[in-house]
Amino acid sequence: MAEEQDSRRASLFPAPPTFYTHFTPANQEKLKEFQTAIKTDGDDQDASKELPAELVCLIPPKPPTDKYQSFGQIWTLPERHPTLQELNIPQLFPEPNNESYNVDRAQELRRLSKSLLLNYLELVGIMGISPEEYAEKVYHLRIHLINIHELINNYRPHQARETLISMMEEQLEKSRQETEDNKKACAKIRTLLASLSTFDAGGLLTSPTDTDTPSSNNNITNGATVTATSTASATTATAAATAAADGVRNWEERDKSSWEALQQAGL
Amino acid sequence: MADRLTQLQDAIDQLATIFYCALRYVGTHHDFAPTHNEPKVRDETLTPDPPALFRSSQQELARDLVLKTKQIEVLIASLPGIGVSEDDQKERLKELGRELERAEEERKESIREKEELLVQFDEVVRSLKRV
Repeated sequence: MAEEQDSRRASLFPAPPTFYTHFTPANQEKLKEFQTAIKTDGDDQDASKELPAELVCLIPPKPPTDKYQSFGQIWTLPERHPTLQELNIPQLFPEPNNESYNVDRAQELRRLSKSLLLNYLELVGIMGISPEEYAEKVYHLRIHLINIHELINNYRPHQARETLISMMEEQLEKSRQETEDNKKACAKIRTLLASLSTFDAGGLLTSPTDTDTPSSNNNITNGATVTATSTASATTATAAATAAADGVRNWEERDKSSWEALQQAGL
Repeated sequence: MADRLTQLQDAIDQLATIFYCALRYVGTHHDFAPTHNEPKVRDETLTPDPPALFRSSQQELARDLVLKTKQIEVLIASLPGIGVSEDDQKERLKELGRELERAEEERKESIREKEELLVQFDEVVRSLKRV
């Protein structure tokens, strides 16, 4: 019976427990009746004993507090990694002592791997002399390997933190780089706007004879170049003045100069 | 690429496999030596390698073993965060978190600035087009 139960627990797709047939509407009705009866009695201590066998299974068991079994494996509550002592395996490294433990851990790992190799050498020697006595050495090798793996697995949270640190550093670097790039782009646009304001003064937009250009255009451009430096606006003013002074230029010439200004502005 | 710890664990597993392979090779490929005048013993389950090959194979297996051990040592030496305590790590994490927040603020600020400039620039380009 016990064996049968074990095989059922360990199988990948276990058959449903035998009591599933008890879950019928009729039984559930009965259970409800029972429970209301218990409530009215106010005595729930030995009331469960009075429950008929087919109804007992309908009441879910209390959640486990210590450990439980699932698919043949025992899980502890709260969930944690079982220590070597709990698994009846001798522990070959000292217990952690917070401060210098990480240094120690590397040292222990190195020690264990050396010891592992030595054990193997002994095993080979034994195999040469009396092969029947292999069992003890193989056991030692096993213990060593398990201990090394345990030590490495204990190291994992540490590594996880370390990885997180390096990822955050990377992200910080990226973010700063982006800020830097943005600032560069801003500076570029500013110089461009500033050079445009000089082009503006080239005579195309501010020339008094330029009747085709609506003044609203002028306003927009000036508004856009508000960020230009004060020196730039000073040149604008002087250039506009000169443009107004010899306003007798013909259209072609003005057009040409505007193109030159455009090219200077890098457009 | 797997992380260092997994690499180390894999290396250890490989070392164990090499342990087994070496013993098994010697066990299944050795030859017999006759003592005195007895005839040489035979075993049908064994396929002895010629002495030269046997020797070189042994050497190769031994070299593998030593190489793997060296590799393990290197991996141990290069484990991340050696000499850093858990508290140090936590302190560093907090600090990085603060710095990240600050950098993010700056980044958003710069993006906002860029977008503003873009709008200005757009207006200029539009006004030029109308000329």
